[in-house]
Amino acid sequence: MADTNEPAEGHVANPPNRKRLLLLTAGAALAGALIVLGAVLPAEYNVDPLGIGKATGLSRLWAPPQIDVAATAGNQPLARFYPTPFRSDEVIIKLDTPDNPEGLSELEYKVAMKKGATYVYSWQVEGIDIPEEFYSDFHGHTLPKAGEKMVVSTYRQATGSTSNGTVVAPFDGIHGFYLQNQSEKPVQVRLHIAGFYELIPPGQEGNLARIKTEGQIAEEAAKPRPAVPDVLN
Amino acid sequence: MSTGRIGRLTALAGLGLLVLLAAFEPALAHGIGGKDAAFVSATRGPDFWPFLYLGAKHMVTGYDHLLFILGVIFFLYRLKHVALYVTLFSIGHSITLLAGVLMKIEVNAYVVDAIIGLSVVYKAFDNLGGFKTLFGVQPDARVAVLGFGLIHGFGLATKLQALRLPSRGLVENMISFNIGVEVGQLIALTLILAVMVLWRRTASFGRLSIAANVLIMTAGFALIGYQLGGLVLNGNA
Repeated sequence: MADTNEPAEGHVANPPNRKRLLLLTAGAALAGALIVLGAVLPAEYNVDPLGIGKATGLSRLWAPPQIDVAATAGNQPLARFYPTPFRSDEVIIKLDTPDNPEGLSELEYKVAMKKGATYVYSWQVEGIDIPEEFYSDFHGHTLPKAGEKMVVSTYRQATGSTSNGTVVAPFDGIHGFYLQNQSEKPVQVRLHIAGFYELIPPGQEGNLARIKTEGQIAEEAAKPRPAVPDVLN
Repeated sequence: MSTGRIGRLTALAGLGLLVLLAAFEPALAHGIGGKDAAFVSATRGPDFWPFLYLGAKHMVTGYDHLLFILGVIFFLYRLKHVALYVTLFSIGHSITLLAGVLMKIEVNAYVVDAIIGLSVVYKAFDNLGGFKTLFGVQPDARVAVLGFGLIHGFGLATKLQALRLPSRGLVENMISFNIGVEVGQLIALTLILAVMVLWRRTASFGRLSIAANVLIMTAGFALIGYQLGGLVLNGNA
């Protein structure tokens, strides 16, 4: 053992007796348990068995463990930002029956978009009995100049009287719907569209049917009518 | 003010700080995180000084390792013995740090850290002469320090592995980290030893050494609870 003038190494010079040792150890365990139950669990894991975390505000230290996920689909970002202002439109498109030579039973309605721009849409066919008697082709294409090829992308071709969805334009161009009424009754398509696009003026490629949005119709109605020339007098 | 009083105050302040760190600041998650983690993932090839620094930082701020070292040297009066035990501890944790990372041994960090907490309890109980008093046998302290050193090394390995160390320069960086751990341990040990030597000269050491070891044991129990809580409530680390 140690020299007489040096205390014993490795443990306390005056070890506590059996009873006191057990008491001290149990005390340490109890104090440790209290610290864990009262402070550590509330602050670290938001578990508060004694209610001390709530009483002291320790529980507010807790924050859920965070898992970071890349906001991409493939190599494409899922969050996108556009210089184009946001807009939304409601468009009512009337379609006649196919057997009426005077009317229009099929047409295209598209909007102009930059590559990467997006819109959300929803349309329903009103006045149709059999949904399968309505056909639509959701697609986009470029507007090629002479000598250029046209780039086309088809998003969905289907029968059905309703469609909801979104598109991210794969290229600069016009993106929208070919709509065809195959039923024996005239119908109307109510389209809601919102996002980063521009309307195509009536008569241009993408809106040859001269469809106007409800907003455009209301705007025109609000304009003062030109005075009728007084030819009768 | 007498030297004794200064020593006593320094000792109490130092010990108090350690116990506070261990018991009341568990929010100081003892891993490698934030900008350090980002740095490690971005390394390409050997990078000696930064990894040395990370190893040293991990040790100096690692209250679980420090508490164990404090327990080990608490009643070691001869520098020769301090050197022996600390060397045993270093050999132990270096073996498992290197082997754990190289052989890609996956150990649950919560389990390892709970056992590290147990090592603190063990050493404090041993310091109270607990094994002799209760069971009539004194386990070989050298074997215990080496054994728990192995466990502490697994703890170090899990922290490094959690960073998904790039394989280029892995061995060099891991050895740099290990050297850093030893440097950090030496720095911490010097400070702890200085405080202990000052404290031992005062009369309060005799009165308070039992209480101090009970406090260290308490902190060890709290560490066990903290890590087992994480194991149960946060799932696999």
